[in-house]
Amino acid sequence: MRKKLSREFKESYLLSFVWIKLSTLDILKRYRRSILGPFWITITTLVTTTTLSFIYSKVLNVEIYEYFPYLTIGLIYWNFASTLLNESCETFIESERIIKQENFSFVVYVLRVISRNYIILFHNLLIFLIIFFILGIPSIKNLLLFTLSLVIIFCVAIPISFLISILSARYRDIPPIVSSLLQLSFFATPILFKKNLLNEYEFILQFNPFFYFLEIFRNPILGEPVVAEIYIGCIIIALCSWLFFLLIYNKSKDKISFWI
Amino acid sequence: MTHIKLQNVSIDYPLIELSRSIKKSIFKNATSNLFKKKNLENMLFYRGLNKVNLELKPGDRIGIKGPNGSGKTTLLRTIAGIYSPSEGTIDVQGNISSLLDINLGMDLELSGIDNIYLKSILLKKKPEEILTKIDEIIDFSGLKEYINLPLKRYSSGMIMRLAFSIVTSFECSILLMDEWLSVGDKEFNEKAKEKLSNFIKSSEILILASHSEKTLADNCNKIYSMKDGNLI
Repeated sequence: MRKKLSREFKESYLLSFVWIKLSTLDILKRYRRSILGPFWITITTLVTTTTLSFIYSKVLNVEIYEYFPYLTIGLIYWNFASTLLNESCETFIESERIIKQENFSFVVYVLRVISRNYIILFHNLLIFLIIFFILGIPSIKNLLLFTLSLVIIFCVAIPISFLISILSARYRDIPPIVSSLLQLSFFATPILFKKNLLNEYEFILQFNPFFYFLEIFRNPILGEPVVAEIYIGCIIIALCSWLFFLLIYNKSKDKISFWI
Repeated sequence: MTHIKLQNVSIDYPLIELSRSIKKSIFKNATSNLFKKKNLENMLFYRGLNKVNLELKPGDRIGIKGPNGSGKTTLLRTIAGIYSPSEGTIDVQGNISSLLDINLGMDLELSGIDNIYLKSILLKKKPEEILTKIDEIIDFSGLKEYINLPLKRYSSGMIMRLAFSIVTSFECSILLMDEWLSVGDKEFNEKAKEKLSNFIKSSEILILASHSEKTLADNCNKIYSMKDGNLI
């Protein structure tokens, strides 16, 4: 029998050296023998956002100095969220050999995926230096709010990533569903466009879960306030995802090893 | 105290390929009132272990023989805590080292050094502990300066030697082995034999699954055989 979830989390905390090492090696492996190594992550993002800013600032007829920071922060957030969710579909499949030999808690494998994506995110955050150069360095309060957003996103990432991991281990139809929903969500989330362009239809954004976390991630860096409703939305999404996750987890924890 | 106790343990493998997709499982639920496919329901599980009882204490050296598919690996994985039993109880106290797949954690893209870290970490060894053993491992493997090259530049014998050196460097109280370890060329084999027997001596309980009667007779003081998930 697998242990209770609280004990699994405690065990995974004590085994943090395992998942941190696994995720760092995952990243290093990807950029092995390249001169710049993981900084290719930063450069790729920078090239993409600069090019897109040039084009879309003309399309949308806005100043590039204003548009570049907006788009860049949004895209960094989106890269993180979509890669995390897409890779969550492979969590237990990529670690299959380890699962079949070692009795690590399943939390370890989920944290491997999440921490790997946080490492990529931190490489991308270097681009914020350019944004600070354009917009000025944000106030201490905003920097704290931004850090808080990373923590909130982490708290939601655990249940959602875990849930997708379990479901995709059981139902191999989940990965294509996740990736097509993500593709769709990109265009429904105000990353390329500003939300006020929706005019009276701005309310539809409240049905988009990605929107809430984007707001708490992007606004502090842009120096814009985050309204309380957004934080409440984040908390509600977090609670719901934990609830769903716990329901599914307790039913499936003893079966995951058989599914993969 | 180190011990293993299995009471009436059964493992049922779900035969998921027969009902994997969402479509089928929705369809099955929707039609279950129309067609009561009782046979299919029974077929959905395959019994890997059937009511196994086993009690082991320090000093036990258990050998398990049996044809392919008789449940040897399933038993080892169950003791390792990978599979949860569908009935019965398991109580395992002790620090388990499972050598079911000696190549686990060996990554061809990474250097020898990185592989030592990766494989040791999968054995739940902390980085500080690995650091104290790393010279010994490199030394024993005899890889010298090759240790900084990625594994894909190694010969398969060199990879085996490295894996062997890593796993035998960390002592454990319960050792699970699927087939005996044999490695490398003649010269290394002599050296390895001694290290392996010391390593096995240091463990309190050994469970070894093997096809070779001789290996079992040489290393075990009690031999069970398995057939269709039953331990005899």
